[in-house]
Amino acid sequence: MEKKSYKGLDLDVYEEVLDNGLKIYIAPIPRHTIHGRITTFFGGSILEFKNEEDSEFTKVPAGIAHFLEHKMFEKEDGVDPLSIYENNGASANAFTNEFITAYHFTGAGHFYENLKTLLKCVHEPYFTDENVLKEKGIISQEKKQDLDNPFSIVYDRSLVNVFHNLDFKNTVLGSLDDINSITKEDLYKCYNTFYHPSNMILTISGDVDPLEVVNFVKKFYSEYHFEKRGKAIVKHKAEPETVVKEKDVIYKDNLSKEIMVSYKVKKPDFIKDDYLNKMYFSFLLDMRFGAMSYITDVFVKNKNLISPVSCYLEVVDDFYIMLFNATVKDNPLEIIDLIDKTIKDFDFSLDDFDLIKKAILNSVILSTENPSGICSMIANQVRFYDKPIYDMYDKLKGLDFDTFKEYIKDVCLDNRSVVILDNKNLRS
Amino acid sequence: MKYYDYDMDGFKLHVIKTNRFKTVFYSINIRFEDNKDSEIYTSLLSRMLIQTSSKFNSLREINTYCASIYDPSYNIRVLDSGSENILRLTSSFANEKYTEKGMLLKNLEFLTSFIFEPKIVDGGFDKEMFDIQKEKLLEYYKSMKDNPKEYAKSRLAEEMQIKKYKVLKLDDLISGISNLSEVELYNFYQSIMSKGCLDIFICGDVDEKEVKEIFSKLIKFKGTHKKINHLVKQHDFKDMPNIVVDKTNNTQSNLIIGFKLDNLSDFERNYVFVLYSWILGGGMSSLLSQTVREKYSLCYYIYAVRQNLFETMKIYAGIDGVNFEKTCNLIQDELENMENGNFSLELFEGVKEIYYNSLIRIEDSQDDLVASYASEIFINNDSISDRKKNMSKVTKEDVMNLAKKVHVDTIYLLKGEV
Repeated sequence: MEKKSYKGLDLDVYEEVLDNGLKIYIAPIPRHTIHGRITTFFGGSILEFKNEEDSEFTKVPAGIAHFLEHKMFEKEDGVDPLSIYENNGASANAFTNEFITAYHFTGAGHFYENLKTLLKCVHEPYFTDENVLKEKGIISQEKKQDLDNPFSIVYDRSLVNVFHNLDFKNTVLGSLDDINSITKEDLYKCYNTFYHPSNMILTISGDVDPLEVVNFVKKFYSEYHFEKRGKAIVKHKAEPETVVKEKDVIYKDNLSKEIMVSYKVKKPDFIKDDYLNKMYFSFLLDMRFGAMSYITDVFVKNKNLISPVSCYLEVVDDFYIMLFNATVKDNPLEIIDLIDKTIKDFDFSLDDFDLIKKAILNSVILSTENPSGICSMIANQVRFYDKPIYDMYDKLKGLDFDTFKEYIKDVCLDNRSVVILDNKNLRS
Repeated sequence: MKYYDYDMDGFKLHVIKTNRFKTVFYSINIRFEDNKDSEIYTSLLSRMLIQTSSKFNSLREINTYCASIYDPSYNIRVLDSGSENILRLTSSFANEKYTEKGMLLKNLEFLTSFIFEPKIVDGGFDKEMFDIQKEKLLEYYKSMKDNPKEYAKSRLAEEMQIKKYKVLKLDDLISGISNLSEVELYNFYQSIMSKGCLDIFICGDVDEKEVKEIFSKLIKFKGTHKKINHLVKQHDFKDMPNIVVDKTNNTQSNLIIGFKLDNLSDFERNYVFVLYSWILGGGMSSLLSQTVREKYSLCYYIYAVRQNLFETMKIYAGIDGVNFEKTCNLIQDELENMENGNFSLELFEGVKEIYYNSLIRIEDSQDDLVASYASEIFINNDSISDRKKNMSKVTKEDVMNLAKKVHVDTIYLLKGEV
């Protein structure tokens, strides 16, 4: 076991890699509650994959990672792991995003029983035709919430209009048809590929003794037979820099209008360090649309905007995707133009840059305040950078305005896709 | 952890001193009596307070200064608390140990000014910003049907009428806000300041004497609040529920069932009711989840939520409209199972464990610590140790007896196309 530290943040992390490939990260902090999370690198945007020894890639329906997450709580003895956590007074849940599926619990007391429940939950599948059929009704209702949600409608369509080939264009839940096409064989195939410890990491934070935890986890796995093997291979797909469709209008008899503006940007290679590359890129959004930007007052005073304009940054393969969403009363084009002019204005000030840096440093401190935030930070960094960024605080402190200005010169904002949920013409 | 309680100039200062956190949590609470038509004012008031300040000319200026003091996060809301409302600012900022000396004072000055130094022009809130915020709020209400869950909730509130004063229909709320002026809103704000009751909470690794010194200079409060009972008892229990169905073109249907409870004792309201709602519709092991979701696959979500200070409960579910009757019948069966004690001892003990665990967790969150102390002061909740003792006394019979006091009032369905 190796002790590492997030410098400047008073946070130690104990690292261990088991023989079966499982990576363990333990961050003790003074809290009564302990958060445990096991993450598999199988998310909603992974639809073609194989193991090292396979000759062919397997293709599965969209939505399967999320479906699998639901089914992992079904056990042969009929005891739902969630009921074990509940009996221990702990809360537990799971989530699937585009890249990962994570299972987690938070509780004070009964820690080892909770940890055992977590590990058993992800290593003891029990899929039958009957229980797969049952889940289709439940997940279809989950999907139907999105079908009625204006944000989800424009977001889902944006992905389809931005990506030619990457499976990111499929939603995490899949379509109703995808959900209904999933079989128990599909689930076992995905399970056997991605729920091997070599594709997983365990993160734990709270009042724990790291050595004791590692010994417990080793003992747990001694009863399972996971041969050491390489990571699952996800099929790489080439993606052009252009978008599929630049403008799309969806008609629904809503009372307001919803817009989503997406910019697809090839990662500039001016900065080789992936973490810093993303931080510098995110400054573009912060400088132009953050709380301190001049546009804040323009948006607040714009009577055409019902909601604030929200911005999101996704990192997908070699691309940064910037998404802007708003609920609009009339004239969506006015807001779309305003967003476009603002993001393309490359006149930046050093004062703003330094203030944003201060705000980011504060947010980093806040993110190490609770066990779940710490586990989430570590898991995300391992997912995107293959390891925790222990010098993130120093890296952030060292962000430099001149480097930012040089970096931003390479950013191309020509590839844009717009989706409008309009209410002018009712559905025919 | 130590707790300090100071009588200040017209208000109370509560300092929870603990070295378990890297941040300082700061909360301003002004309690005032819920009055007729309060809801016309409250949403606009919190929007105006958070977006304007007498010290700054624009949001950009506010946010720029905010970043210069290491970006405290903050929010302002007006909350329903039974027969009272609470104007509340909550905020969190890094302890100056992690930033620079002097930031405690600067953060407290900055955050406090949102509540006590709004931008006032000619006896009213800043007219330009008022008109903009009013229009945006009106658009939000006018297009509320685009957000089915919120719309369904608002329709149920209209139908059930659980508050001390009549809950306005959406159209009346819209017309009330349309007619409101910046001067009337400022008068409402002034009435809160003159009739309210102020409590300030600070939680973190701070020096209590330094905090006291800061607040002795920062705030003088003239509120004349009299202690009132937060509790709103329910009346008019129906023999047959009021069934209301509105139609939309959505895919999914939103079902909300509202219940009124008949005159609970303090013990029942604070403890038995918690267990009742969790066994019925708390987690995944609850009766509703196990039956409606797991056994019959009718929904993705179904859960029960208590409103203790109103002695009411709501059950939420997203279903296909064609399954409306079937779902209602299954819910009715589970309500009967609660009355008859048809739930396992394991579930009963499990939800007690969740409650005990939630008490332990309070110390892990500054927000929860403050909320817990505030509930002891505002609504006479028991201390954490008494809460544990009292919960351990609750029996299965208590839960079954409480089940007999649960009366279904309104079944509301926002019916989709499927």
